[in-house]
Amino acid sequence: MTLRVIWFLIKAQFNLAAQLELLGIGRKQKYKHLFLLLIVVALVPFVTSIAVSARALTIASSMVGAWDLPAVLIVSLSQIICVFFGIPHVLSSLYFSKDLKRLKVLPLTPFQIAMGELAPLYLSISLILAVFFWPFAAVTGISFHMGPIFWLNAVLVYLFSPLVPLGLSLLCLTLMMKLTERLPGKDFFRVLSSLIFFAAIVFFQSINANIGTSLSDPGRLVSSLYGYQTFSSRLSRVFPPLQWAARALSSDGPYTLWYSLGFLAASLAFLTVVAAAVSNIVINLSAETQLRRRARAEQIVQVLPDGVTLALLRREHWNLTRTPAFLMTAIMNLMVVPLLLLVSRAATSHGPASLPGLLNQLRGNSLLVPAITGFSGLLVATNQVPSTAVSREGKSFWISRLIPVPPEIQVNAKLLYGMLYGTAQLLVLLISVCFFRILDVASIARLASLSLALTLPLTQIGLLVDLLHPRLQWTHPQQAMKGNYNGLIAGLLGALLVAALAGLFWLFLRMGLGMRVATLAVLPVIGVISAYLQAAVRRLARSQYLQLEF
Amino acid sequence: MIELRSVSKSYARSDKPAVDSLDLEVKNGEVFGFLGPNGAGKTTTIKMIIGLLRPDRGSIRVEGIDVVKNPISAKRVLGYVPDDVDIWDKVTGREYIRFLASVYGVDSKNLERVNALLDAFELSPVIDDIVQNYSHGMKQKLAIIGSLVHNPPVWILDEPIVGLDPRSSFILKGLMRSHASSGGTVFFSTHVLEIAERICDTIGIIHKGKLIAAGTLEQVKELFASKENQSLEELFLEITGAKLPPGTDRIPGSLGWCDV
Repeated sequence: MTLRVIWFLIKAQFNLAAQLELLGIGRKQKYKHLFLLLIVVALVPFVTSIAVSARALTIASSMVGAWDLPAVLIVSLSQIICVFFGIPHVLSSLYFSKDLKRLKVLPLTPFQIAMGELAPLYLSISLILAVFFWPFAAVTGISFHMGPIFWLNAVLVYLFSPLVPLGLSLLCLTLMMKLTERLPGKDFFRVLSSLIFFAAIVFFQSINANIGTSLSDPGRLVSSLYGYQTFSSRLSRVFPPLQWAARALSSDGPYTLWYSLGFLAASLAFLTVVAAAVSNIVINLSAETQLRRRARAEQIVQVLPDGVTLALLRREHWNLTRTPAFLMTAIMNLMVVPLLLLVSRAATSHGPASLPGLLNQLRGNSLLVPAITGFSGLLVATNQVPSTAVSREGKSFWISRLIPVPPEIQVNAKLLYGMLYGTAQLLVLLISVCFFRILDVASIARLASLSLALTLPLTQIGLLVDLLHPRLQWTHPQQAMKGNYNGLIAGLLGALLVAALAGLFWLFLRMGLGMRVATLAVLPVIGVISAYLQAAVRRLARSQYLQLEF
Repeated sequence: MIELRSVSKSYARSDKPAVDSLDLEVKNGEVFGFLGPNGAGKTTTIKMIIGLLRPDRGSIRVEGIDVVKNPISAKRVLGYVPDDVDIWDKVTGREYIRFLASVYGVDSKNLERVNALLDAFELSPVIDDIVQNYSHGMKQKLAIIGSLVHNPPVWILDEPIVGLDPRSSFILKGLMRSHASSGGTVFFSTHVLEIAERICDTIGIIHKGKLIAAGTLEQVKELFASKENQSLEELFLEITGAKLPPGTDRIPGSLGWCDV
């Protein structure tokens, strides 16, 4: 019975056509093949870089006599990768999944449901792991001239590597569910977990990059590797089967099969025990949120009506921040700059090799402010907030069509909200620039004013793109924002505007205008472009809000 | 008051018009029941009246205002309850009402009635919960209350009874009658012919996009020279040419099947 549930869910969740539909690609066969081809092409450079790094590591390990180090790295990094991808996957499947509602009414035990949900996750995590594991294992096997037993062990270790991380993710999920049980909504929980996920990526990146950047320095490499090995050995002390897996991959003697079989049995037992112990809690806590009925108040609706614009702004904000899929994208966009700088700093410690260090070195360069302004513009152009503002309303767009508020006022509220979000992005950038002491106060003021001015036309472009062809018929919020091509088109058009303004700025400098004068000369140009774009937004709002039939 | 003059509407992928040369007038103080089989053009007509769809031909006026030429003014006098209640999922009931009150410019004093409605429909205890957690019926009730926030002279409801419990259905019928009694216009579509028979002053039957009968129930019966004591359901089935599939039993009882 459990196996039948598992097989059904695997088939349902690996329905590629449905996945493509979710991405807005459609169900046509040629698109399916094109999509798969693009995935493969996109993975080539990544796989190649892992293979090159693995080759360098095996050579370095041979040089320092640490023959078993590649095996330890394969096993421990596999576990870490599976945990990183496991937590959000488990969260999606066992907490936000719509399947649960349907499965819970069937005569299935919580254990069967949990295993049924975990099986498709196992497959997807295995696919992700393959991209890392096989280039690494293949290079190690070939470099050390390993025999057939090594390859057999590699297959076994690969197949069973996701089990312990899945069990850990399930434990982690149970803990987080218990802790957030009384919090008002799922959304907070999801955002919290995404932050943890990001923190984990930063941590992972720092380990990875520390090893990667020390390849040219054998002394540093050895200390990095030993540091990492210490971390790995700590990991394996907590869970000895990891050590067995590493031993299975460090030699090709027949006895190593016992190690991989031990790893296999222990991993399977761990997941089964965890699933049996916590599935009941997880499945019950995943129930739909109950209505929080309150005692009747004297005056039920003490509504203090807002002004129209404020009401429209509130609606934009509710929609963006209370829909987890939208909120995730919005938070990611806000975090990208500090994350980029922090990862770079964590990866390379201090010094000129890190991004903040590099920017510090360029501190006196007069082109740094325009360059960061351009970068800030690109961030705003690609933030997907204005470029999906109409699409995000989805099937509820009828309310916007029904209310007696002129379309231009409604669209202006969206523009204002997009501007506010763009300003928040700019603020995060400015705080990061201050934190890493990349610019002086005067330059920061110039950066702020230029970037703020640039935010307006870029937001207008995003809104124009979405107004022209909003995607209102979606079934999953992901289709409205992340899977909406309007974001991509607006990003490209915005990038073109930034490039054109950069070209104009360069022209002003070539004409002999000073940096400050050139900056002042660009501002009115941005103003004129914005005025034209605003007129276009107004026209399009009037026509589209009437033409969009619903 | 609602006036439709020679209104037609076709959809891009269909060669037949969804609504064909529709002429209709619903006066103030009337409850008008709009009847027709599935796909007859009821929802298309309603969506044209409220401005969600543009008619290809003809004119539509509500309270004398042309909905195509003057949409914003027309929307001020309209209240609408959709058949498929797609309200924003992520707002609370209170926030939804607050939003509507803001955009319609309703002040706090005029919200006493909304409080009474929330109480009557038993939504007050869950008013601070997000709409996502509401059942279909609760969403329907919130949409009904939302459509009345600004006390519109013209109230349009598309299949409002579907999904409501008997108590709420009873309250809604009372509201529709009292809205008309106070001089407003109620235009609603339904499949429940008993309700139409009981609360409507006038009815209209639309079939394949054409209005085939309109007026009081007696006038419609006269128009089709129906038998004495023929129910609306029988008349409707006769007019729309509905046939039972072979082997299907006719339900005996008050609806008049017993004589067959």
